[in-house]
Amino acid sequence: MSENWFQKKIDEITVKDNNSTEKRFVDTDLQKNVMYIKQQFGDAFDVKYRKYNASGKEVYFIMVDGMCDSLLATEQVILPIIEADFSSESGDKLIHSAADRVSASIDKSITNDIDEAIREAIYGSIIMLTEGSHFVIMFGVQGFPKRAVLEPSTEMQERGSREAFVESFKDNVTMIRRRVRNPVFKTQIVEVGTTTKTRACVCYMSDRVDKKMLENIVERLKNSTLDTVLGSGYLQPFLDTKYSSIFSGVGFTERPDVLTAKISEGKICIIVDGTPNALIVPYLFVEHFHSLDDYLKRPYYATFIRVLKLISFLFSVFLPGLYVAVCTFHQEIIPETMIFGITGQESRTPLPIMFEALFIHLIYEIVREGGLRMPKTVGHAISIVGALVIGESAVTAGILSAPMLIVVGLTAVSSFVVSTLYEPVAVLRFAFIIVGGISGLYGIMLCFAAVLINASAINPYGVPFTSPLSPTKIGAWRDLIFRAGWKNMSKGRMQVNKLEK
Amino acid sequence: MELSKGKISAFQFFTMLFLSRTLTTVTYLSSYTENIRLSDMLIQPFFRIIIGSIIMIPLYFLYKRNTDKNLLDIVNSKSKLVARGLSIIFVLFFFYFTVVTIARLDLFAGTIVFPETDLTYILIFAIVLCCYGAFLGFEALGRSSVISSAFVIPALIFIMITLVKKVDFLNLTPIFYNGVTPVVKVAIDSVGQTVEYAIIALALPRVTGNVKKGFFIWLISQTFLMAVMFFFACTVMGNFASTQLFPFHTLASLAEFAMFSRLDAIFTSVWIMCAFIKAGLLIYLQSDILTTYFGKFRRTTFIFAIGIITIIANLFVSGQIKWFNFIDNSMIKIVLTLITVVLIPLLVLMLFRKEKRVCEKLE
Repeated sequence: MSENWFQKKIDEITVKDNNSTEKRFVDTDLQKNVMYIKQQFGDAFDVKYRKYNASGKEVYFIMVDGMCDSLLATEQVILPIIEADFSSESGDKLIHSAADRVSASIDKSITNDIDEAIREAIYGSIIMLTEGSHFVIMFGVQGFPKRAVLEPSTEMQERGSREAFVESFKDNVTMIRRRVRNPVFKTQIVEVGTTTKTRACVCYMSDRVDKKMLENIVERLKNSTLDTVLGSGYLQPFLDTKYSSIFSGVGFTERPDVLTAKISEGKICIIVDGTPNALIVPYLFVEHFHSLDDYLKRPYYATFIRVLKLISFLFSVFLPGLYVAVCTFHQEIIPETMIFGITGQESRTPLPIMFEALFIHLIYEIVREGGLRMPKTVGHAISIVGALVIGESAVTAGILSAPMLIVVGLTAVSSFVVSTLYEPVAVLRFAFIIVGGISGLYGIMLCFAAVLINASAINPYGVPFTSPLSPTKIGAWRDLIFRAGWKNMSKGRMQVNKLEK
Repeated sequence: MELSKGKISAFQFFTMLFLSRTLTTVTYLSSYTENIRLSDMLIQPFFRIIIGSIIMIPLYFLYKRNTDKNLLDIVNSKSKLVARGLSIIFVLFFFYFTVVTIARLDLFAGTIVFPETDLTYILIFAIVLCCYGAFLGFEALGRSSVISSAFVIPALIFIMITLVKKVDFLNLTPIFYNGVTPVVKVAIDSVGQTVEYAIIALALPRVTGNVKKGFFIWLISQTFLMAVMFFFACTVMGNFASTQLFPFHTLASLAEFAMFSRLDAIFTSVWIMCAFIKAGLLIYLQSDILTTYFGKFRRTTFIFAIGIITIIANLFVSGQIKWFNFIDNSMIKIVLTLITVVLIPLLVLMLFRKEKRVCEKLE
């Protein structure tokens, strides 16, 4: 009953999407078609309609200014067509001949669906219509402004490539093509978002991908009930097989080399137009502790770094909660040499330890969020203010204890070591502080068990999230925390569908 | 009507059972062994192996005939009514062990961890989380067991290693000092405390891989763990152990490592982790049986109902040592184990044999 009430409230402020898929075909009457297109665009100032005479036949070129390269459109498309001799051709034949007149380097496609032509025009194609034809021809002369390929901003590597994905999905696919010079690399375009008609490019290697998994993912993308898709994150819930979990079976990367490595393991990646991040499916828990640098360095060092990451992860989740639990309920664990110092410090603060921890972590998250959204220069200022005001002054004023500040500092630094897990870690940290303060180690262990089983229940596309730890696949342990050398790893490549239970 | 759905590997299944049985071992109460010397407890686990192997013989023969059906499914193929009756017995049996598991945790928390705190909310919190584990299902429980064992086993080994320097062999007394009978009695008691045999009886068809090998490794490993634990309890604490309510917890509190003493916190963590797995598994099995044989409601509804009843039962026992002693009675456990693991499979086997004879006569 409450659900119906809530649904009614939602219905009051929302409008159902019109998912009409009825096709409108190109009419043989040129004016009718032009009128329809004009009607669709309305008074859009950036849509250009150019009427020309090609060998006595009336042709219309329609393009969206700013989305296509005007020079390229004029020199490579319009000029060759209007200068060509079409005296013996008309209607459909003229459309097909026009395609032959244009340089081979220009993308061409012919359609009888006028709405598709409009969509292509919006995406930077120049479309040509003529009298008496059932078809429209579209020339890909895209030239919209886009960001240059820059260095990754969140996945920095010491020795890896310096390229990161950009917003244009075609450029992103090109970056992968350059790395996989083999036709097994395949792409499949799926249109998502009923209004935005965003293109999602499903990338995989045909010789190793699990066909069922591929079908399932494409089906999920097609069935995504979204109106607008402005980033890859919009699609993540539709790809997650267990969305109620705190962890996600869908990963992301902004590096083309990482994406190449993932698809070479039989995984499927989705590049969404307009987003410099690609989604990776399925994404396992242990992968959060791997980075490309691990494979570019000596195995012993890579192993060391992974152990470090694991410890950092455990610190970032459990340290504040454990500190609160130990100081509140289990003081006997604290060594004698430390207990007097901690007790002395904590006794001078006005808040109980649990609230002190919650307060300081809340402040830390505010400072972090503030620094993240601000311009870089102001962001630094926020960090300094945070460190000085909250750190120094709060301890001097007796609001916080120094040990608590050490715990927060260590936790904050640790949480950035495995940055891809930041979201669950930040929330779990608060949960562990609360249960640690209420029920000590007892509650922390119970909560840990619940988190563990929550992660174990994720089974994206038949590959358990906790694999290869459980179900145990000893063979895959050569690249788990310990990393074997390339001489060993090159004997056979890992394939994700082999990790299925 | 079969309990099908997800399957787990033999490794996951027996790791889950190992953790489940480890809970019974680490929560061993000194009251169980009042008539026996602690040194004899070192020998007792080996009697357990023999008894444990013998009681599994009827189940072994039953599963040899029917590899893809569990005990209840086999009975169900003959008589639906009897299967329903037996399913109630199993549900009650598992429910009883769930209550005992949580009650022990409650007793431990109430007497040792938080002696001056009202534990109601902790009790409810624990049961709710166990229900959540059951809700996520058999596969999730199996997977998380393997990862939990990666914490539990090293934690126990670490505690043992730190206790090595405190071992005093003078605390050992001659074995069989009071004769063999008390040792065998304690071994039978110990088998009676093992709900895992009944779990095997029901969940085995949902396990893939080498089950026979898994079973013996499980039997030997938990016996070995028990023997090691008793060895340390006996040699480190001597007769002092028998004065403690939870001797292994006291043992862990004596452990020291560098400047850290009182490693009982680690022991508590092991205990809770194992309790979560065990209670979660038992609640899951109850809900699964009820869904299969009384499937009017969804599994979630049954889990919710079982959770509520478990909370009520445990709140009733909580803080009442008299009631705890009553429900934690060895004899009740032995009888229930014998009924579910030996008697029912034996009757089913006899039924099969009779049917076979009738068929042969007809032919």
